[in-house]
Amino acid sequence: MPDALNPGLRGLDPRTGLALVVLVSAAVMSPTGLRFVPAAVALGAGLAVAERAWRRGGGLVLAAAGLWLGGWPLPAAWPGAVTAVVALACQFTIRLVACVGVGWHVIGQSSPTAMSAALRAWRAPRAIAVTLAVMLRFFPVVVGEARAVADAMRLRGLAGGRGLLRHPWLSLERFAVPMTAASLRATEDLSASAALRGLGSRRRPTAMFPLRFGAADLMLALAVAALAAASLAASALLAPWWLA
Amino acid sequence: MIRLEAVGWTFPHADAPALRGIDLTVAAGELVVICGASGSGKSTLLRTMNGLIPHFSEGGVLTGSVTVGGLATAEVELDQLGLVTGTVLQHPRRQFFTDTVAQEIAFAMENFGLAPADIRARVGQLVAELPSTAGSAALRWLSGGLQQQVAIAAATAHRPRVVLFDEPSSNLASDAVGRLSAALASLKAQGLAVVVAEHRLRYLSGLADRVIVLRDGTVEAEWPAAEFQALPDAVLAEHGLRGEVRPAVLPPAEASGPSVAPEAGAGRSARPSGGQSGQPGAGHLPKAGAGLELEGVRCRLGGRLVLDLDRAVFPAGQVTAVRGPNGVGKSTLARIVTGLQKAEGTVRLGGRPLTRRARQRSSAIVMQDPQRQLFADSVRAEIELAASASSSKARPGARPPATAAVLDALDLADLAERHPLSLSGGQTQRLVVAAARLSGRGIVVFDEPSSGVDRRHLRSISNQIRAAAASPAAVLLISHDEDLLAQAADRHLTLQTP
Amino acid sequence: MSDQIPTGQMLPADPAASAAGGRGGPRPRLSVRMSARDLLNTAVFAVIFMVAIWAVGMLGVISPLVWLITTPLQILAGGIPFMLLLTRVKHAGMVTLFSVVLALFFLFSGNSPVSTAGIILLGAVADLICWLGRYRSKWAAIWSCTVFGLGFLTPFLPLFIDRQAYFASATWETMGEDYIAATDQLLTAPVLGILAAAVAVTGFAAGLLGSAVLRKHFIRAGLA
Repeated sequence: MPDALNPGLRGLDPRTGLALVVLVSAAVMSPTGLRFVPAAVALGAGLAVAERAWRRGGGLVLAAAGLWLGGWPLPAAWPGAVTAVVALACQFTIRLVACVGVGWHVIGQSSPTAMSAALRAWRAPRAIAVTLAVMLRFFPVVVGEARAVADAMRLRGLAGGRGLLRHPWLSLERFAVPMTAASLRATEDLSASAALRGLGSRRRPTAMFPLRFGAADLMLALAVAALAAASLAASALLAPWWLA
Repeated sequence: MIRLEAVGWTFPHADAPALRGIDLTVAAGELVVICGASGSGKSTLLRTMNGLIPHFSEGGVLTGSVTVGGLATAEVELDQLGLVTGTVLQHPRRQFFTDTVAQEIAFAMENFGLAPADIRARVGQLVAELPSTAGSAALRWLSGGLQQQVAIAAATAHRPRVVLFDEPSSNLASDAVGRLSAALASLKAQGLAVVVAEHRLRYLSGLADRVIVLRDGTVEAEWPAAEFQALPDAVLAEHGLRGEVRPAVLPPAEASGPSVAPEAGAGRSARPSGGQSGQPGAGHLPKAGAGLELEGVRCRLGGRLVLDLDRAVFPAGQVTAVRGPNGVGKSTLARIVTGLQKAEGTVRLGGRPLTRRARQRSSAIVMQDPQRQLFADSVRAEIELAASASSSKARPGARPPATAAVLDALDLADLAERHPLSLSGGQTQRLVVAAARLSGRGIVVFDEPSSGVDRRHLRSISNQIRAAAASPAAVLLISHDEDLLAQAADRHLTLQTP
Repeated sequence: MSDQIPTGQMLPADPAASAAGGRGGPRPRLSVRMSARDLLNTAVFAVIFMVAIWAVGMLGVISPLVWLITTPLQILAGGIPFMLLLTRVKHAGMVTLFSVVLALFFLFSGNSPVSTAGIILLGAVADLICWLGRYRSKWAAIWSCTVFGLGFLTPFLPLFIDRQAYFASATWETMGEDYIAATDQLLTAPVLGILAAAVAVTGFAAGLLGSAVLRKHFIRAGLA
């Protein structure tokens, strides 16, 4: 019966995903973190492929490849002040892209329920656990409102690059004001319904299926450990060619 | 179970109270209907019963006393009230917090801290009561009727003693309304106190113990069950209420293709090979060249074929109803026609093919939530902004009506200096229609314009739809509301999954 | 019509609520016991803030040159929801909560831990400034917005912390001393200071403009 009721969990404990992003970002953003970039990109692409998100996986690899070209072969081929600045930007951005490649996957796959369960299991304060879970739920709603406002601006002839360049503040105001008002309205029902059903109350919540680490979590942990070890080995053995 | 004594409520910044001197008692096992025109205060009254007033409305003033299940609502915390009440709001989809049926039903019990084993047992029991297709599906892909069944299960899973419904039938097709009455009957039989705020009443005939009519925040009339059942529709209409809902009978639009649903009763159970399912209705039909024509329009979203029309014609000066269940591509059609969505095929207006950009310049949408479409800081400025956009971009030859005349015609003159975001729903809609008419667009789309409005407002909305068509424009009216379609539409295009 | 006699028990549950409309009311109590309403409010503003800056940022995806225009626009766009949030704060600590959840959301979507800590710290300072202004002072709100806007610098913090590692790398050694020296100067403390000043000025402008938008739109619309 649990499987019939519980189709959303996909095997991984939500805590594993969240811990993974923080770990990847801590490693990649550390002073000697460049050596982990290929592994992180591979991990992000692998996670995207596992979800059949071909476009996201491909985009990540392409972006990383472009940044690598700009960051390494480009300044080597044409040394100069401009390429040096471009290279510096690329070398930094490739780290961001590597982290975000993993992070967007994890945040995109976290349901509000899973997020709050994970944070509760870590004993995060109620205010933080509840607010973050609610944010996940509100995110698609607010994005939908932002899109609708953008659509309405296009139909009224208020959108477009020229208007933005000529009156940047006016364009911004015309977008942000209705977007804020519509989002507040669109989330009102949801807020009311959630609060009535006890969300954010001072009771101690329970979970229909308490979290438990399983085989999938172990496999992912082993894979990540293997990737990290491979990165360290590669940076030691292939010193001149490996990112560092 | 519920006791209201001399209850009054004034919203912050409001001049007049929204509720005045309401006395009401609802016993266990009783079903009470609260009805009244839009703005009469029925939703507000419901919100005093579940504690959203005052706990979720900052700054208003509540007078009198409200007791629910023995708790004085103003004195206890909101979650304590949530434990004894269940609330089903108007749009099930907008109140779901989770992604699956089981998680949604478990949500309240988890938050209230019930034991996991008990939650699983209760969820299993409630899921078993739903149609078998619902069990493992993602919530957003369920039909409107099923979503509501889930919302009812989610609101009552923690076994509250009171259930409150806010216009539960307003977004339902007629067959789903039958299931709703069965669900209400079952709750009543279980001994719960049930309160339904509604403006469609006939489906509640056999269920209601009392019907209370609100007007301007006070009780105008109270009918016991027997008296209510005997009331003719004409009396209901006097109170701004809707009686029986009959499906609108409309001639089919000229359209063909896999996305076009076959005519019911046309004697064709399967789609013929050509997909030609609609012949132009009787009567005069303007030449297709004067309106909007779609040819070979196909659209895929996320790899899924969402819309597939070989041909469809929306004559200028006429209102074409676009019908069909959730997810058959009604909004996609609207987005293609207005140039917001890329698609294969040709779209012609007045015989000329239009690019996506040109369609954007020739169309207007009145969105379901028209607040998203207001950009200026006063009603007058909004109208002027629309007029300035029209002078440069509208079709040559079509002269937009004058600003002042439009303000007067739509009863907006008094509101000229108000901020657009401070208007009521109906006023906002009128303003958006005014802006659309001023800019002289040849294509106007209305997306569910009558969500939750009463009979009187329905007339004013349909007048506006007619006026938009007369400007002249090809009007697409997306709506589930049969009353509105009967008043405002000339023909219909019913979509199905291609 | 019955006379309405407000019975004592039926006054609004939170005395601060009735005063929330006007400036100069009693200072909101310092309390971390936030109601569900406060948490939901914080969440919706955090999401509006993110989506607003994300939508503006999407304009800049096309080319890095446009970044120079979109980054200030992002700060300005964030100012509108931030200033509106401040009008709805009823507890000290809500701005801190706002920054914590934003920072964690960014952390879980791949932002660096250093940046996360930076955003939370700035949020706490912004909260303190508002508290000094009793949560009702316009100028405190504007300064608070300025401080919080500095958060837009934090994603680049690792770059500055990381500077030595960059120029020890093999790639840079092959390019010669001149380029290392030239690029090194790009990342010095004065440059960081200039950037921070530019962001702070933009943040201050965001506060001013946000407060103008409050007057022009949200107060007149009954939303603030």
